Amino acid sequence: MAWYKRIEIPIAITIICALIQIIPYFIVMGPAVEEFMDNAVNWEMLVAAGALFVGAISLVLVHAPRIVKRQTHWQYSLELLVLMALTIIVGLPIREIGLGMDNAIFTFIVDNILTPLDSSLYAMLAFFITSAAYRAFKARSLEAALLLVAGSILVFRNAPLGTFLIPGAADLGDWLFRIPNMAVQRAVIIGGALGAIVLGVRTLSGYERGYLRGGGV
Amino acid sequence: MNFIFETSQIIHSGRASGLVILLIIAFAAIYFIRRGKGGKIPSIRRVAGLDAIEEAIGRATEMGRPVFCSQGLADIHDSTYGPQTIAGLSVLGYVAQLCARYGTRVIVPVVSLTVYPIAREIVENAYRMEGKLDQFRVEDIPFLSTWQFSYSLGYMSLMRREKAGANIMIGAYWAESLQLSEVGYRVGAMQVSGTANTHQIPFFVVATDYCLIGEEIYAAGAYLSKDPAMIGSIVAQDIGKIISLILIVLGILIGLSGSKIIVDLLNM
Repeated sequence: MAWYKRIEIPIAITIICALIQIIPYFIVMGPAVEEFMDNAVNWEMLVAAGALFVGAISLVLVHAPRIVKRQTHWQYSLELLVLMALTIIVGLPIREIGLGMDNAIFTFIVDNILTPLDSSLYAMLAFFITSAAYRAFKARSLEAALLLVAGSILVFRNAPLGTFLIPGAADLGDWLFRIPNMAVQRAVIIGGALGAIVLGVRTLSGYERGYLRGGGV
Repeated sequence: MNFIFETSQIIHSGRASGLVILLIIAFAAIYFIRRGKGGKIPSIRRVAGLDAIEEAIGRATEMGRPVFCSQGLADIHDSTYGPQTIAGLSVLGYVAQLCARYGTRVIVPVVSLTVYPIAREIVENAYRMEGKLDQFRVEDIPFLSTWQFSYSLGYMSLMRREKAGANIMIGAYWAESLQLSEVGYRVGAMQVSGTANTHQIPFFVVATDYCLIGEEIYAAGAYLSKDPAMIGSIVAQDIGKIISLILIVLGILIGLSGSKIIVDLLNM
């Protein structure tokens, strides 16, 4: 295998980049190192910006064959590619010829297509929550029964009619929210943080290779 | 107190205690990795959600439906949520390999442009390792959008159109978690989810068949790899928990007596 394809190289790059971030976070190393650390973050942003092209190419690779072969719903693929091209062109930062993010067509697309669609999808959550709650709130086991009781108390606590009908629901709901809920949340957060640290150690020691071609060589 | 004063010249103020705890856990992890490599494998509890992944893939294979596997919304370089994406990518490697072995399609909807090439490489390599590179379809790793709800809509549409047989979601999810899991339920997919985002865990718990909570997703890569060294490292998490418990109990007891020494130590 060619030397530049060896798995040790990306592992070494990962270790170096991680140490550049970790060591100056804890240890005072002076302005020169801190400046270098800031530069490293800028490189990271540059790499991420470069990845934008990967995304655009991926979209074309997936949708162009669909249009050419007239596969099912190919019209949507065409619509997507045309709108993507249009948004890219009118959003190009060439203000001398009237393009850029304050261009009228660009702002129209954002204000009248993207933003309303985004809000509508977010609003759909209410219906999803209702159907999920309907399935979850069935007392099939002790845990499910506890969830049902706690959930019902919180529904009564949040609904104006609930606190009118059962005045104690507000205090009980607040207690549930502040004490048992907070305790469990903190336990999950502490556990998650510890898990992330150990994952970091495994990554830095080269054992965790899941992010590198699925651990293969 | 001299020690605290002197270390403050070398270590950033307020970060010394964090460094000490980090070093303890890191050394514990390295120690248990070495122990694991030496053949002393600790017994760890079964994680039903991780065991169910193979079952979900098997079920999808029997039904002739594709398996969906996603890693959440976070970029891999995000310092707060990125580790969850790394955990999700570890699971993707396992899922892709099983799917390649069974000849089942694996669809990986991607939201992050930095995750896209990695996800593609992982799936392609899984097919290569199973000797079925000719069955790898690049269009099965679609980059949908960097916008949260555009991604969510694309993901939901794909699940409906392709009739998902299994939906495995491990990573950092936000409001789209419930949308994805509800649509997964409606198309009859067996679902395994996992996140460390505490505000989304309840949605996953109620809407999916199995849910990995918090730390379990970070242990997933080690657990599924069956590598003794990796499994050994999980013990270090327990060491960290013991330290946390001791600090909590001491903090309560000493705090009740009116002293703030534990708080001061942690702020050091």
